[in-house]
Amino acid sequence: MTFDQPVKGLSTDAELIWKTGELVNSSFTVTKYSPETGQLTLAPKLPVAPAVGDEFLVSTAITQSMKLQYVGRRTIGRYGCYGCHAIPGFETARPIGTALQDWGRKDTSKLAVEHIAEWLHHHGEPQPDGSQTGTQKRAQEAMTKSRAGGFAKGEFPSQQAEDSALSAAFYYDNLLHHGRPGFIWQKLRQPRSYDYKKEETKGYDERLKMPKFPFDEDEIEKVATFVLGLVAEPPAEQYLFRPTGAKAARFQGERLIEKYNCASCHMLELPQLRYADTELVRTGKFLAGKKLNPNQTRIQFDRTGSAANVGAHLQWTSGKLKGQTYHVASSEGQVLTLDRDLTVQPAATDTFVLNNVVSDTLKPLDSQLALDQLLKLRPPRQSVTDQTVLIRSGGNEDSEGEDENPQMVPVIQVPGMLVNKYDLEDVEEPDDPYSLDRSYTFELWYPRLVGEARWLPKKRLTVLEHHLADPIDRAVKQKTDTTMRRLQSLIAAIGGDPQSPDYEQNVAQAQQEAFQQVGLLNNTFLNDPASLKRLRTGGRKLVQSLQADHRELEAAITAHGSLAAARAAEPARVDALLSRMSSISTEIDRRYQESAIGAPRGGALAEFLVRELLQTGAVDESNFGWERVPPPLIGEGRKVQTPWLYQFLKNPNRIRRLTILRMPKFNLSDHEAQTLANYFAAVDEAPYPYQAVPEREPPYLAGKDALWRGKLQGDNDDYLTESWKILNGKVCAQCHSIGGFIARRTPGDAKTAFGPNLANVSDRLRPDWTQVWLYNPQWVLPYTAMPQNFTANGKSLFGDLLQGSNAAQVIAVRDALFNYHKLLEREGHVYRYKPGAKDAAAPGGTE
Amino acid sequence: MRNAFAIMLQAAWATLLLAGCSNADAPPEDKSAAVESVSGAPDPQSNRHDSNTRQPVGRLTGTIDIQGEFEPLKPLVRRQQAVRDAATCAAQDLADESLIVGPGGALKNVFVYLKTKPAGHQAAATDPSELVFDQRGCRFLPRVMLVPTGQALRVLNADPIAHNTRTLPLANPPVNRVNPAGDRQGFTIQYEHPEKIPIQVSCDLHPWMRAYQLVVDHPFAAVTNGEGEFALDNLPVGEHQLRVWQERAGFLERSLKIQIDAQQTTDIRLTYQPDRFDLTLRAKESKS
Repeated sequence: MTFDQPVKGLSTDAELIWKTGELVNSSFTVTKYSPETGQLTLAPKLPVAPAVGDEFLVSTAITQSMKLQYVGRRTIGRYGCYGCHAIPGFETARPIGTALQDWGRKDTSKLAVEHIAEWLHHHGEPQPDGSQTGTQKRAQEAMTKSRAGGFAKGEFPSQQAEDSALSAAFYYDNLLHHGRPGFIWQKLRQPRSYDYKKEETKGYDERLKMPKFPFDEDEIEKVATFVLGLVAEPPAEQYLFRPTGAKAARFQGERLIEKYNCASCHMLELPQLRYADTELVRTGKFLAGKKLNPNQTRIQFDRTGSAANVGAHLQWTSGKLKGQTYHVASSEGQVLTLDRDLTVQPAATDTFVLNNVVSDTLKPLDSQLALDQLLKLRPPRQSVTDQTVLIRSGGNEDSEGEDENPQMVPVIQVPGMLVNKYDLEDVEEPDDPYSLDRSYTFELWYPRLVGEARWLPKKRLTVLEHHLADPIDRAVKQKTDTTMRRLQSLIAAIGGDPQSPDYEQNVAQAQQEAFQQVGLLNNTFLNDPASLKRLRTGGRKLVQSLQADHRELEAAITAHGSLAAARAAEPARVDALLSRMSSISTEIDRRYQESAIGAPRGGALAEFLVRELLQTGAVDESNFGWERVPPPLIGEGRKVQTPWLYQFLKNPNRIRRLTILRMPKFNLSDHEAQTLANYFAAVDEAPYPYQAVPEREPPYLAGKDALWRGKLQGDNDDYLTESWKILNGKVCAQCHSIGGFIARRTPGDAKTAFGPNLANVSDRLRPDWTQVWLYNPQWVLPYTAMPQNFTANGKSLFGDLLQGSNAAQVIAVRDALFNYHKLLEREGHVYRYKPGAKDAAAPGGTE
Repeated sequence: MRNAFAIMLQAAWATLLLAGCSNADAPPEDKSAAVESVSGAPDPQSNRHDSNTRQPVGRLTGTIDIQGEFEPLKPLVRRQQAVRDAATCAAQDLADESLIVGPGGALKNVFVYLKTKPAGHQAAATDPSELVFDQRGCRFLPRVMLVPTGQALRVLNADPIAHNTRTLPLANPPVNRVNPAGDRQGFTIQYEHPEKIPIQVSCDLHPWMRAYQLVVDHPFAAVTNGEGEFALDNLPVGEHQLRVWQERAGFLERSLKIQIDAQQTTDIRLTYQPDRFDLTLRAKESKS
């Protein structure tokens, strides 16, 4: 029911009511208002279908603020602010730009080129003085010069300049013919130039809205090429990525690794140490003709960096160097000239070479045979990267004073474990990033090549902090270090004696410094998302909670007047805040240092457990800790047999006896277990799913028997029996259960090393891996407790068996392990000591 | 990181008695038989300076002790305790030697060494003789020792059971090797690089076995004797930074500044409280 006839008596305030919409409490809505007569037409509110979207705001009687909200939301919707900003209520709003998925085939008649020809006649080429010249002129000039011979005749400064001028001419011409390439080229150059002379007839909110992005012409070409390729069709079958074989196993395995969170406990990839050591570089031609990648090449400056260097560095990093030649100082004080595509000019490149690297020599205990086997199992890869760093030279302990000539040094990247890093308290001058005390010790896990030199596993590298290759180490690290120290001094200051005359002053000073440092640290991470990312998992949360605590503390100080007063009023809260800030800052520092080394993939729980074991005193060395936690799965594919891994994943049984926790059963499906088992082999480029074990086959054993006939100790023994005597002798049974002897733990043996039961080896391990392991366990797993039992020279631990030859014995032990069940059946149980001896181990039983 | 670092952060409580000139006439070469000291190893990098023999030198002596009440350490292995190879290892009580306190609180087996090699120090040639590191009664002998870089260290085993010798160094590659029963031939270890702190040596078969070896490339290092005494001879004149390290406490001093005057003996006395040595915690552990 509506009232169409005017309602009398309301005219006095009608306009006001209409304007302000103050009819909220009325049971009427305004349907019509006539300013001439002052008449207001009202209708009673009726139940209506609920309005959706912004209309909801004005679907009932409205207030001024509702009107404003309505207009605001419509404006945001029209301008598409939510394209970049997160605005509540616009989560599902559609973008305002034209759809691009089929733009490559857009009908050219639908391209609104408007008055662009006229615009480009006068505009389009901004000049340094602020004026603009016409693109038309530029295109014409390019054509004229090109016809006159181009770069070859000296018309252009370089071939590249000619190419880019001709490109512009092409796009210009295309645009004049309403082509798509020309249109998008100009759209990206000057998005709103299509509004030229159109503003007169357009409403203020109807003008073109696309912003001008800071693309250069190269980038515009790349974007245009991409968009022109969007034709809303599925890619052709032959271009689809459908991996097979090992590649497929890796992809499928990665999904399962993600799904079951394997990387939480197990380290899947080692940390990578990336550093540039001036000791490695002396003279020569390391960089000759090398093209430097601007994204990878950084010039690291130290206190001696000259102004020219700093300038080049800034320009380089901000990406504005295009088209210029620029110079950096070389180690010999020469100027290294780089041309516009960052290739080092030959004239100045005779100063660098990687010639100071010394190969690792074999230690007296290690045999060449073992080394060959190791290199076969883990072929050494090159560690010299394309990245270079300009670094100050020197760095040995005797160098005093400044070296005025920074050096361009190649970055070395090696996988391994950080075994020690300097302790802050240990550094004589904590604020000096070049202090020789600031060093990291890193253990190599793989054989590596450095230039032509070869490094072996177990090698320890001691690297000065300012030689680490990652760019923000020093700035951020210094800030976290300083923050930590300032917070600690703040805690110390407020814990001081309040009666002392300097108390207030000390606290105030420490407070000011600490707060300044926290602020600096926050800014560092907020302004550099890369730094934040490098804090590994949870980094953002850490920084946020540091900020939150910081704000809370500031609020408490504001409320009470000073920190000392705040602490007097709420000691528990203030102390808790401070200690939390200090521990967060320590954690940030720790993670940051790890990331400077190059974080490992996975294994966070293992690392945590190692730290816990150390802190609780359960172990007193990190190597002992690593023996007790989920093992790194590096090289697992070359270590274990795929069928065994399948079984193990289906039903994880106990292998290592030192671990403090067991792998859970994940209830994997058969297919998943298979995929995961294949994955590890595929990652290591090892054969799968089946492995041959020739050491078990009659031809192999017959060959060995023939070789050793007449040379064995027992007249009736064959090769395998003699091998069994070695394996089942005193040495292995020290730690392993073998041949029916079960190595059992007594209460007094809580920390004693016990190895896995050797009955499992023949199904579990691969023969090649086992052989290297027997030769030198620490080459394979540097933290292991398994000692080196077979040496190149020196007395055999196994007497005269197999003529006392260590080389033959190690093969024999391997062969006995892979024929274990056959031997046990043939030889029966043999115990370590004769029954009745004092130390005799009881036969049978369980571990 | 080593456990010791956590302990290092604890507040220091050390008394320093600097008594220069107290022993001015003592000859610098005078080495007490009880005080271990080592000759230096060659260092090709430092030969651009003159030989240190021309520089004026002085002597540093000192004593280190512990003052305060604490529970004595319990034996690591009791007689006839059920441990591996009990016939040999549990033939008698094996004392916990991680803290050996002599008369008047004198601390034995504390490493005292210079933080950095003195500038221009030219090391002597490598000693061709071998140092001996033995295993007897399920103990390493000696428990603490100084090993010059380059000098061979022969590892032996006098027990009728096998041991393994596992080193946990920072700068040198680790070694882990079995010594079979009664191995009097043994094998040798050579450390190439000096270490910042003493290396822990352990046996995985008998986990209570511990030894500590400090690898040095200069002769300015010593281990305290049963009276807690040490001496560093031929120290170049000037200021030095001294490190004091004990296996239970970690660093007792990280960089203690000392002043050496020409032809004079500087004597210091360092006293520490029991809380630096993790004594209560260890007492709890041995109960469990």
